Amino acid sequence: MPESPLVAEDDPIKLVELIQAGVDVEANASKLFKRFRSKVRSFFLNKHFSPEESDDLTQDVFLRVFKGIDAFRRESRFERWLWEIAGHIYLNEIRRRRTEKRDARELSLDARVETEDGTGSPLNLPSPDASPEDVVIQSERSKNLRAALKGLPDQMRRCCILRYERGLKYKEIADLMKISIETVKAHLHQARKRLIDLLGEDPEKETDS
Amino acid sequence: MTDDADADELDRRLARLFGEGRHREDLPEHPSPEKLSAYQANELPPEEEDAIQEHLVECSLCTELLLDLQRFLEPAEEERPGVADLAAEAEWRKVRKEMGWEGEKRQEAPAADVSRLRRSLRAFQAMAAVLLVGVLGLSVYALRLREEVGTSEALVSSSPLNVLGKRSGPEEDVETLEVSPGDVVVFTLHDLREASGEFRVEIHDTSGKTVWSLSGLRKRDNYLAFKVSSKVLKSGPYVIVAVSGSRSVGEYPVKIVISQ
Repeated sequence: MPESPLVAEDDPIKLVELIQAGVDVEANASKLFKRFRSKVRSFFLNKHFSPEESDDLTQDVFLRVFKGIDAFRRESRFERWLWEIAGHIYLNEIRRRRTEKRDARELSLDARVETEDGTGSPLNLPSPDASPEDVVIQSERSKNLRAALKGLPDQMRRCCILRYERGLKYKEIADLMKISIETVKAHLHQARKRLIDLLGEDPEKETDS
Repeated sequence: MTDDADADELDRRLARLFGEGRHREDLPEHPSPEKLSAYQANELPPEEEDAIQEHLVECSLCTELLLDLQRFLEPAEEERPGVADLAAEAEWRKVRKEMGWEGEKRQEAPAADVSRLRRSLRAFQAMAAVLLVGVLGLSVYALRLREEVGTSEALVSSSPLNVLGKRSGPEEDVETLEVSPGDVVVFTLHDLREASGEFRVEIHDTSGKTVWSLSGLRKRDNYLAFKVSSKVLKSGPYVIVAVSGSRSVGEYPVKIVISQ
């Protein structure tokens, strides 16, 4: 049986090399596209773009991939390069939207602050029902917490913020900080104890109020 | 040591406390995606790595980007066939078009596809040969008609008429022919039932009056062909009637538009 000149579909580097060499460009580009389209599209869907917007942005990513394919070096993984291009397209889109909205946006008092990840977070305004004493207490509590955090070792502080402020999972924190899950758990265990000491009182009492 | 349930409760309370102190600001500078992927690949010096970690703590956007990179580097899942395939195909067509790849010839094809391609090619060649013979035949016929008319008038040919027009009613599926004054219109009538021998064709206007007729026609293969000078026609609807013996064997509505 004659050997196929095309490569196995699970070898993106080979596909890229063939495209770079001008061999069966369209067929090999089609394979790359169909193999990674879903991954790129999910990348944008997970960032709260609509399916239609995700399709358009995915198309932009692959156009940039194919137009710049000569820049790809085989020392790197294709997926990494693809992610970098998707990251640029994403950041550019965020900047473009922010620029469009900057001057036109009116913010109501109960609106949500638009964060860069698009999820939003509550405006840090005191409740209209809060008494002046509540506002002062809340502000003081935040200040104390920030000060207490500064007293923690860097790695422990980072784990603490990623866990309690961001709500990330242990594995995600471990991946981001490039430490083991066990180390993350140990940091958080120590941090709980030290924060109680540093804040001067049990945080349980604070939040019960 | 606190047991798991107590630790979970403490976690929730701490999370609420952090929530009260949440303080997000737009960070002016984000590390480039290249820098983030270099961090993930342990390619940065310690001081840069530390700066990235500090940025990650403050920036949910970059945190999410890095977590996405982890997912990107995991093996790709096979797309489910079906709707996903169709969507991917549609998207791929757009990319192809943008890249200007439409119609590009393949330099090489998979061996398994070659025999299929050859079979398709042979079938295509056979079809092309049949079409060529048909076109040549029609051309010769058209030239003969032109010679018979003995003029240099343009020929306008109707597409094959059939009984569908009659069945669908006078206003539907009516063949419309746009002709210039002086054109010769060539009609071909198909679906003439089982009739044979000599035919007579008549063109009736909307009142049923015969405005033109021709006798002594014979079928060419399965159809009747004849020519009419547009000088005998005006713009408007007509019905072409094919008669065999004394009975009608086909009626074909047609609309003539004489352009000025």
